[in-house]
This record gives sequence, structure tokens and C-alpha cells, in this order.
Amino acid sequence: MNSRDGFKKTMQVANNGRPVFVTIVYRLAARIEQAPLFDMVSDPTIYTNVLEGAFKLLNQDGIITNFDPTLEAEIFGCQVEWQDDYDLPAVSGWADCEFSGVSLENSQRLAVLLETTKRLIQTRGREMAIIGTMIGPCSLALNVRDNASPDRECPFDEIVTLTGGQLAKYARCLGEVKVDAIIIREDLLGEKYYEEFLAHEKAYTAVYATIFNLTRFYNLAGLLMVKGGKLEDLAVIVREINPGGLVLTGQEIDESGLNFLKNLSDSRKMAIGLPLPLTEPDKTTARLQVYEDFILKNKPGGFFYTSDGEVPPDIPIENLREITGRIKGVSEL
Amino acid sequence: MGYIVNVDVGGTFTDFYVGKDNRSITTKTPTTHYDLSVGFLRGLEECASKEEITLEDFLKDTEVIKYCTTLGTNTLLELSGPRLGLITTRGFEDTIFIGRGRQWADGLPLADIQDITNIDKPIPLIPRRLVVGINERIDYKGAIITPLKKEEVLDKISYLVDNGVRGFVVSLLWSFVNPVHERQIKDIIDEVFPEVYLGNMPVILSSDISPKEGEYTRTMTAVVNAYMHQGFAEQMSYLCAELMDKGYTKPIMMVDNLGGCSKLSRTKVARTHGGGPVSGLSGAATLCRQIGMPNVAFTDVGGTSYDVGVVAEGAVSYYDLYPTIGRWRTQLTTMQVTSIGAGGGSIAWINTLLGNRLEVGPKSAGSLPGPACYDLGGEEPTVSDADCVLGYLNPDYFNAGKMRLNREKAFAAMRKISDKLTWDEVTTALMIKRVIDAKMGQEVFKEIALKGYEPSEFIYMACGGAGATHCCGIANRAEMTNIIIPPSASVSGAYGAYTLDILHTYEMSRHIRMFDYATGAFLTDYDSFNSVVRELRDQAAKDIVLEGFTGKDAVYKLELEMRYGRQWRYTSVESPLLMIKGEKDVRKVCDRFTEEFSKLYGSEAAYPEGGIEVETLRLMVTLKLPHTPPVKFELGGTAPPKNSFKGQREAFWEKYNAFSPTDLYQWELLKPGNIIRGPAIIEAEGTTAVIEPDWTFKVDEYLNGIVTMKVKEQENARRN
Repeated sequence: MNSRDGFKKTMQVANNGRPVFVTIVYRLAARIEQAPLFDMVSDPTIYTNVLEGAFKLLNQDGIITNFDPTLEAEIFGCQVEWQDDYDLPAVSGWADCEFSGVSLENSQRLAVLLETTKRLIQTRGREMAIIGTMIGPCSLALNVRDNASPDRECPFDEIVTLTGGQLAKYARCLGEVKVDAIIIREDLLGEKYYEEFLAHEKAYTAVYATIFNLTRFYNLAGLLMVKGGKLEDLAVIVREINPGGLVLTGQEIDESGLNFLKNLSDSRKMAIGLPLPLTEPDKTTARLQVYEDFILKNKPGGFFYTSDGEVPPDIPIENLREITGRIKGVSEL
Repeated sequence: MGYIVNVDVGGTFTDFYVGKDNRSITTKTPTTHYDLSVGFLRGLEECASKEEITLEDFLKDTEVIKYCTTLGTNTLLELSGPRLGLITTRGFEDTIFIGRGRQWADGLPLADIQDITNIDKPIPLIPRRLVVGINERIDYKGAIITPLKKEEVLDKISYLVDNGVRGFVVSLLWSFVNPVHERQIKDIIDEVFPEVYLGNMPVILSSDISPKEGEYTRTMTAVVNAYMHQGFAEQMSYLCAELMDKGYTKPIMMVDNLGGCSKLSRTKVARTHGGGPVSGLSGAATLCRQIGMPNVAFTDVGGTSYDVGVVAEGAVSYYDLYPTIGRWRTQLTTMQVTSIGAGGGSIAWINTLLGNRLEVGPKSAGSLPGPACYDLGGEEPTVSDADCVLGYLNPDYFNAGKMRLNREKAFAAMRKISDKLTWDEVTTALMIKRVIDAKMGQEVFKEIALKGYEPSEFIYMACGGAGATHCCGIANRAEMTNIIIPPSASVSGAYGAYTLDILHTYEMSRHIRMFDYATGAFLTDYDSFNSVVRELRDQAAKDIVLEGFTGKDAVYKLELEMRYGRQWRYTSVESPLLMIKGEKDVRKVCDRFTEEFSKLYGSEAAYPEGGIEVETLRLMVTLKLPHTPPVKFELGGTAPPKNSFKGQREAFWEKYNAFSPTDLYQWELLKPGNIIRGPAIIEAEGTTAVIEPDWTFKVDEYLNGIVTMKVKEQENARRN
């Protein structure tokens, strides 16, 4: 069973082997291959080579193709300024925007990203998981509401619907290039996410329903990424929007938390990504031990390991490779 | 005996019927047009998980996969085929552009044909500048009048290649009588572009594809086949590779449009067109024969199209001798199934040119974005949305609970129409149902009546995912009072594929005068008939071996296209014998023709004195595959078991002009003999049977749903 098979089985909550390890490596990849981020996202050849090269070195189970939330915001007028070689672009302002006419298809960066993803799937797609990401409906709607300059008055529910429509199109684009999963990022809101979701539950639920229906249509996993917060609050949201899985960040999960998550995973048939704080090797080892002990005893079919957020570009690569080696070196459970 | 997997790729759903011993497994997955293999593999995974085994183990235990498709070929619709060159007889280069005049209308629905301001000929598959004429001529007897010159052929090939051609179609006059020039041209091309080199060009000969008379249709058959070939071959090759990765190493059988199947390596791509509906019709005929129902109107209401075929006296006897593929008239004989753009995904719209008339279809929402209630981004109101608003579809149990319907979005979609017509959403939904039921009912009535039968004497077979949902409304409009819903109704194309044997068909045109009106004599040159049959049998012998059978396994059937005197149209007749040994045999064939002709047109129309001719011979070779007939159960009590009753739901009934609490049942838990009086809704894994007031549902001993209407109520309903 190769990395991709392991990932697919995990998404079906049926992985009997070792947990797969998928880290969020984006700026680090650019640094490893010494390609400035701006050059990378402007050219599919450079972009593909960067991601391939980095993941060959890091030897992980999956490639995450993008981790920059400004891509979606750009179509609603967000303007960015590219700074240092390996930093995400900074928002420099928001242009006036005709909301009814926006379209993700006009985004040059998206076109490059999709072409890159297509190429990665052709070259690496049989052996490792290829995972797309997109900003979540809550994060995008709030960002647009707070910053964008629309051409007319726009009630918030309408903003949610408009932004959600573009995200549904984005999900379709990723589905058509045949990624194995899409990470829907609500980690940007941190713990505010739960409150925000409940405040406009009906509007958000409608958007999530379409997005997750689309991921099911394309036979890929729709993974909701969240940061912090109580697991019980997370369970409430999961019941409402029914994602294909979760990616947890900013959480320190003990055994009772893992039990809770296993029950959630089994009952909802959902994969769950457990975070490892890779910037602190001692903490990583300790955390990993807790996870491994639990997994050995309870054999959850839907758990996988991930980084606690994006791996920073200045992390010592040896640390990452050491953890990967330990995870992959574990024999079949 | 391992699994026999049967797949029907439709416009909206991909259906699976898997048979093993006396059991069956069915499932439906959305068709993934961007890559058909995704939906295909997902369906196989679902079948495997129903057996509680892995996909790999499932495929290891699979004997055969039969594949058919209802999809119109995207290659033709999108004009995305390869650049081809056509080599024809000099002076006839414009044949495919003139197109017998009918080309304006071929493949178009009636509404488009009547729109004479917008109607246009289709964009040619091969542009005029890539058609070249060769100075050669063979006459109607096959004699060479003008021999072929190699230098000229080389010159023309060179011109075509310089213009970017990547494949050749060769269609010369009278090549079906003597293909020698076509074969010489192929040899010349192969010499210039040998197979071992990268520049090898495929060459399709019209005499190989369709050795029948009619240069326009013969050429178009070859062109369409060549145009579709590469795309389809790549798609199937990719699928085979995916299956092989998962452990399936046996051949894939392709279902054709004549009611049979054959190995992928022995199938012409044009033969696969419309395989799904034909497969459904064939399966219906087999089922009807097995359970003793000789006259049935087979219908399949899918997501995109409504297919109708007629089973009369237990057999499918109607063929389309000149079927259209896309916009192109061809001459590969197919079983006749009429398709119109009407289905569960058909979009309702307002026709402003006709006084704001409500229309439904032919455009469909497909599987993506799909009906609004599928919540995949679709916003247009469709038939499924209307059914959802009327309460017929269970939002929490659609497609065996795999999909949740969004009733609010269905209402919102209705408002797109209702706002313009000052109706409310429920009235709009009801109107959509009326329009689509009338459209489909009219179609099935027409199909039966125009064949000389009385529709009320036929049983309406409701198949397809949306078939059972609209069966009462459609049957009522078609003046039919008896409906049968088979247990595999929602996957009828796939079930039909299960019932098919291997079938190879070989056709050849030969003008043979069986009875000469001028001399009053019957045919004496028996070899003119027998030599053609021998030639077709020789072709068959090769295919029989390559299918893995021996000659004694083969069952032969010879069909003849015959006519009186100089009639324009041919009538297809099953020959009572393969070879003619004497005048008695010739008379037998003539008498059989007169018998069949009389059945169709009346004995007064038959006129053997005018002469009897055979124009085309069609040899059909069947190699039997194992099938399990439907199991017969004991009939039990009429009361449905308690566990089959699921409660009630508000549903709208036109008879009461209101919503009313309606009993719900689970199909799979009903027993033979159970009776349910309408109004009622019976939910199955793949479909929902809506039993309207005045109709009664009964489960027969084969687990079919038999729905009957009281005649008096029907007369009243018709009067209203």
C-alpha cells in the first residue's frame, strides 16, 4: 500500500496500516528549491518543480498545493504586494469591486495553480496524495465584509452567498483536476470561528452543503481546517455541515480528547488530522508518543498526522525528516 | 460462478447491476463527465462494499464486466476528434456535404427542425479541403472500369498529410461489391506510413465498416466511426488500465446497439452508440418473455433522456436501418429505441415566442450542476425539483440515502418560473409534472400506435431512476391502464446488459432478384445468395475464435432487407434458412417476406407479383453467456408487512388539488402478493414509485411492481 492508498483509506476511515503524515509545506518548499514565492506562483513549471523537489526531499505522504488565502480574496478586490522571497504577500489595499461580476476564473494565479496541480497529479498522483486548499466560507465572507469596497450595499447574507458561490466554483475546478482532498481553511479565524458560524448558521450551512456535496460528487475528501476551540463546539458544527474530515491545529489533545475524536470519526465516517508542533522537536516527540499509544491500542481507521499549521520556512529540515522517518518507520499496526 | 458486472453510463447517473448466482447488487453513482472512470470506479467500490469485501477482492472474483453507454458521444458534440482526410471517387467529393438534403434536419428534435430561421447544416467532421477524389471507377457488378494509379494516390496522400491530416477514411463507389481499390489505397498508405514507425496513420475503409449500398450513408458511417474512434479508445484504454491496477485482468465486453455484446477488441465504436437504451430494451424483452408478458412498451426515464422501445409478441422486431449518431445519418443497423430530451433533470423554461408557454426540456441539468435540489450549485428548475416540491421525493432518502435533497432550493428554483407566471411554487411544480407527463405519454402512445398496435393493450414498463415516479401520469396520458415496475427498474440499462449474449453482426449489400416479375421466374443462381452468406460466415468464424468460443457454440440468424419491385423502403425479415438449395427454399424466403410485410402493412399492400428483391444480407451470430432467470416466489398475503411502512409524508395529489398525508413504504421490505392502494409512495434504493389516486400497486411473484388503474376512473380522468 503506497502513500496515496494509505491516504484514501484514511479518508474512508478504513486505514489499517500506519497513519499517513501530511504536513503543510508551502513557503518551506519555495525555500528548499530556492524559488521566490512570487516566481513560483506565476509559473506552473517552477511551481511544479518546487513542490515535487521539496516533497522528494521531505518524503511525506502528500503534497499540499497552496496555502495562501489572498488568492481567493484577490477576486473581490484585494490587492497584494510581494515582499521577501519566501514571505506570503501582504495586503496593500482593496480596489473597488463590482460584486455581481466577480469570477474566480479570471484569476491568473488560480490558472497557474490548477495547471500545476494537474501536472503533479500526472507525475506523482499515483503514489502520493495531492491535496488542494481553499479559504473557508466564513473566513472569506468576513474578510470581504470587513475590507472590500463593493459597488453597492450588500447585506452580509448576500456576501456569504456570493463568496460561497465562488468557492463552490473553486471546489469544482479542484475536483475536475482530480485532487484527492480539499482543505477548507477556517483556521484563519481561530476560536472566533465557532461564534461566527453560529451567528449566521443558516447562510453558512447552505454554502458548506454545496461545497461538501461537490467534494462527494468528485469523490474526494472535503477536510475542514480549524484552529483551537473546544472539541464539543467542533462536534456541533460537524453535525450541521457534515464535512468529510477535519484538520486540527492549535490544539493539544490528550487521551480523552483522542477518544472523543475517535468516536466522532467512527460515527460520522470522518478522517481527522492530528497536529504535531514541528517547530518544537521535544513537544513533537511527546505528542507523537501520546498519539501512537492511542492508535496502537484503539486502531482508529481515520486518524492521520499533520503539522500544526503551516511549517515555517526557517524550520531545520532535519527535524522534519527525523519525525517523518519515525512515523514511516513504524511497522504495520 | 463469479460476479457479472454490468455498467450503463448515462447522462446523469452511472448504473450498476451485478449478478452472482441467484443474487443481484445494484447501485447508482453520478456520472462524472470530466472523467468517466471516477464514477465507474466509485460504483464498483460501492458494489464491493455491499458485499463487504475490498474492491480488489471483488474484481478478482469478477468473471466479466459489460459496459454500455447512453451518452451521446462528446467527441461529435464538441468536434474534438482527430483531423481526418477523406479519399473518395473523383467527382463525388461533395457527397458528404450535399448529404441527401435531409442533412439539415438529421439528429435535431422537432422543435429545432421547425425553427427554419435558425436551422443549419452541421459543421462537417471533415472540411471540404481535406476531401480528395481519386480517378478510379468500379461498376455496380464489381467490374473495374478505371483502374487505380498508385502515383495519383501518393500525390493525394501527400497533399492530405501536408495539410495536417492524422488519419484517413477511404470510401469509393461500389466498394461494398468489390473493395479491391479501397484495399489497394490502404496498402499504399501502409507502405508510406508503416505500423512500426511513429508516423503511422490509421486507415478506415468503408467496405470494412459498412459494406452496404448508399455512398452517402456508407461514407458517413466510416467517417463517424473514424472520428469517434480515437477518443473512445483512449477513454477505454485508461479505464482498462485503472481496472488492471485494481486486479481485474479479464476483457471488458462492450454492449452494442443491436442487443448484444462483444469484446472491446472486437467492437466498432459506432456500434456502441445508444447501447444503453438498446440494452434496456433487450433486457425488457427477455424479462417479459420469462414472465409471460408479450406486449410491453419499454420506457426509461433517466436524468437526461426518455427512451421508448416496443416489445411486441415477446420480441424486439423494429430496427432503425439508418440511425443518426449526433447529426450524422449512418447505416449501421440498430435496434429501434426512440429518445427524446425529457428526464428527471430536464429544465423547465418559459417560451416567450409562444405566448409564455411553459416548456420542459430538452436541455438537462445533467449530473452537474444537476437539479437545484441536488445542492451542487444548480439553480434552474427541473422535473426532480418539481417532484421534490410536490412531496414525492424523500429529501433524506434519495439514491438510497447517499444524497440529501434540499427542498428549499427546489422551491427557490420554482420561483424562477412562478414569479414570471403569477403562479405559486406548488402550482408551478404541478404544471411541470403535467407538461412532462404529457410529453412522455404522447411519445409512448405514438411509438405503439404508429407500429399498428393499440396502446391500451400494452403494458407500460416504467424503468429509469425517475420512471416509477411519473409512471401513473405518463400511462394515463398514453391511455394505458397497466404498468410494470421491475425490481431493477432504476438500473434497466445495466440489467439489460446482464441478459445479453455475445453478438456479432455482419452486413453486406447484394442486389438479388428472388422473383423476377418480368419472367415470372424465381432465382436460379443460388450461389449469388449463398456466396454472400459464406463470406459473412467466414468473417464470423474469426470473431468466434477471438471471443474464446468454438464454431459449434455459435447460433446463426440471417436477416434480409427486402422489398417488392422497385419499392423505396426495405423491410427487415428473418430468413427461414441460411443457405438456398433449390427453388423450394427461394419460395420459402419470398413467402416469409410476404408474411412479415402483410403483418406491418396489411395483406392488401403485399404485391409479390411486382417482383421480390433482397438488397442487404445481415448475419447475426450469437454466442450464449450464462444468465440466471428471475426467481419465482410464492404469493403471500395482501397486507404489506409492518416493517415496510415508513410513516406518512405530505404529498400533493392533483385529484384532491391539495397536499394530503400519504402512506410511505420501503420497496425492498414488501412481499409477493402485497397490495397497496393509491395514493401512496413506495421508496426503493434507486427510485421512488408514486402511486396516484385510482391506481393500485401489487407485488407479483417475481417481485415486480404491477400498477393497475380502474378503467372507469380512467375514462373520467380522460374526460377531465
